[in-house]
Amino acid sequence: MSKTVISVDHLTKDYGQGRGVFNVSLDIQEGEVFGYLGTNGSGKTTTIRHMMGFLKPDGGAVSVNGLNPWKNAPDVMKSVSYIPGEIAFPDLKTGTDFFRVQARFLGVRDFSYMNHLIDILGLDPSANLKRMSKGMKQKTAIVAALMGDRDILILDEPTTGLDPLMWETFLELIREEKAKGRTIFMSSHIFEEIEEVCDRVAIIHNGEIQSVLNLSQFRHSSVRTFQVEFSEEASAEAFCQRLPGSVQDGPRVRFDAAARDVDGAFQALDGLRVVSLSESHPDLEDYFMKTLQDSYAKEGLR
Amino acid sequence: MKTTKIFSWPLMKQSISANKVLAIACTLILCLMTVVITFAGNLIGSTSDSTDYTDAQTDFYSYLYVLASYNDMAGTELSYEDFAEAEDLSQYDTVFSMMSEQSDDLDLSCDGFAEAADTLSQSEAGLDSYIENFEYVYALGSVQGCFSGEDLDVEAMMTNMLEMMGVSSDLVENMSKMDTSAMLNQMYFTIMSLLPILLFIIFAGNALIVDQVDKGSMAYILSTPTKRSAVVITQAVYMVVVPLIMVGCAFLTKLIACNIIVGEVDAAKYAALYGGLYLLTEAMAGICYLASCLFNLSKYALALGGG
Repeated sequence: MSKTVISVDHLTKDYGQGRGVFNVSLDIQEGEVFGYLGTNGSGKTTTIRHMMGFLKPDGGAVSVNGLNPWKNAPDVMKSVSYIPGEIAFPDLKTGTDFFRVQARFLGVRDFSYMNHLIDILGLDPSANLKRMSKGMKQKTAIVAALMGDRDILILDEPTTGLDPLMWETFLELIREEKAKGRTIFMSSHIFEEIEEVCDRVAIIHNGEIQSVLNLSQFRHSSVRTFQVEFSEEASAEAFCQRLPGSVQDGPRVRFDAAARDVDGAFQALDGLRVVSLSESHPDLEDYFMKTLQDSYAKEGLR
Repeated sequence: MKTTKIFSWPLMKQSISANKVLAIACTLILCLMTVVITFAGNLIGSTSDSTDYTDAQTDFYSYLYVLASYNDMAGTELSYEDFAEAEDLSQYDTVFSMMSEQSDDLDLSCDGFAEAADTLSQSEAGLDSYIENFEYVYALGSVQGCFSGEDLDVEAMMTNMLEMMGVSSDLVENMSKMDTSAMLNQMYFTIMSLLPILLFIIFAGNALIVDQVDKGSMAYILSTPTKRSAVVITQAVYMVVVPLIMVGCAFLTKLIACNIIVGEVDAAKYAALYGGLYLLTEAMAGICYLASCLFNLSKYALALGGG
C-alpha cells in the first residue's frame, strides 16, 4: 500500500463568476507520475498554488507529506521542486547568476546534477536573463527547479516553449526521475505528454474534477479496435453477420477484437474483398473531448 | 536541509546584486552634489561681505554731515573728493577740531576720516555709493513731510517704495540678513541630498518586495525552505544598512571635500547633520517598505510610498 504524498481534500477557492476550483479532491501516491489535464483557465494553476502554500483555501484542505503548506511552507519546500507556470525571473544578469543564487537558496553544494541538466537541455547559462528566448527561459526555469534534486516535483505546464527535440528530452528526464522513485505532479493541456509519461491523470474543467483515470487502460487495452472498408456494401453486411457487435456504416465496418485473439476476428474477413484496414487507438484526446461534452451536456440540463 | 528562519544570506546577496546599479548611481550623485555644494559654498563665502560696515558707515557719515553743515554755514565746498585729492588738509583739520570741541560725543580728525573711508571702500557697494547715499540722507533729513510734518528718512522711504511694489519689508530685511552659505547648507541638507536618497528608497523599497510579488519572481524565493518572516527581515535589513552606507559615503566625501577646498572642517557638526539626514531617510524608508509589503501590485505601493 503506497503512501499518499500529496492530498487535496475537497479544495474550494472561489474567485467569483465561476472562476476558481470547487470541491477538488486528489490523492497522489508516492512514486507515481500524476497528470493534471485541463484547458486554459480550468483551475490547474490554482490547485498547484494551494499545494505550494501561495494560496489559502476557502474550503477544504491540502497536505503535502502530511504538512499544511499554507501554514508550514518552508518545511514543505524542503522536499519539493517547483516549476512555476509563468516565467518571471528575479532581476539578475545572467542565467549563471540566477543558478548561483538559487543554489544558495536550496542549499545545493554539489553541482553535478545541475550541470547534467544544463548539458542535456542544451542550455547556455551565460546568456542575459532578460534577452533569452522563451524556450531558453523555460529551460532555465527547469534547471533552477530540478537542481535541488528533491523527492516531490510539482510542475506547472513545464514544457511550454520547448521545441519538439527538447520536449522529448524533458519527458525522458521525467522518466529518469520516476525511475529514481520520485513523485511527480504535472499539469498540462497537451494530451501527448500526459499519455507518454503519466500513470494516472485527473481531468479538470471549470474548476471541477471531471474524472480520474488510470492510463494503463490506454496503453495495454485488452480490446483492440479496427476499421475495415469493403469493396461492396454486401460484403460489409456479411461481415457484420459473421462478427456480431460490429458497427456498419455503408461499406465500412468498425469492430473490436480481443487483444489475445485478433486472428479469430480476422477469420471473418475470409473471402471478402477488403479495400482498406486500419487500427484505431483509444485516445486520451477522444476521452477528454467526450468528457467535456458530457460536462457541457450536464450544464445544459441544469 | 535547514529552514531559514530569520535572515537569508542568499536573499541579501540577490538584493544587493539586483539593486547594485541603482545604489551606486544614487551614491555617486549624492557625493557629486556634496562636492559641488562645498565648493560653491566656499566660493560664495569668500566673495560675500560678511564684515560689518555699520560702524565705519556711521563714522563716515558723521564726517560728511559735519562737512555738509559747515558748507551750509560757511558757504565752502568741502567734500570727500576734495579731501582725498588735497595736499593741504589744514582746512579740514580746523573744521573737525572745531566740531569736536562743540560736541563731547564726536572725536573727529583727518586720520579718522581717511580710516573710515578706507574701510568703506573695501565694501561691495563701494565708497561712491556710500557718498551718494549720504546725499539722499542729508537732503531728506533737512526736509519734513508736507502733510505729516514729520522728519523723513531714507530707510522709511525705501520700505515705502518696496511696499508700493508689493514686496514685504520683512522679507527684504530677512534677505539682507541671510548668510548665503548657511542658506546653501540648509538647502543641501533638506532637499538636494535628500533627492537621490529618496529616489533610491522609493525604487529599492519597490524592488525588494512588491515588484517581485507583482511580476511573480517571488515564487522562486518562496519555493525554497525560507520562512516568509526571513524574507521580510532580510529585506528590511537591506533598507537599513544600504542607506546608512550611502549617507556614510556622503559624509566621507564632505570631510574630504572640506579638507581640500576649505582646509578645515567641523567634523562633529557635520556628523550630527548627516546623522539627522540618515534618520529622516530611514523614516521615509519605513513608509516605502510598509507600502511595499502591504500591496500586491507595484503601482499601489509606488503610489503610497512615493506619494
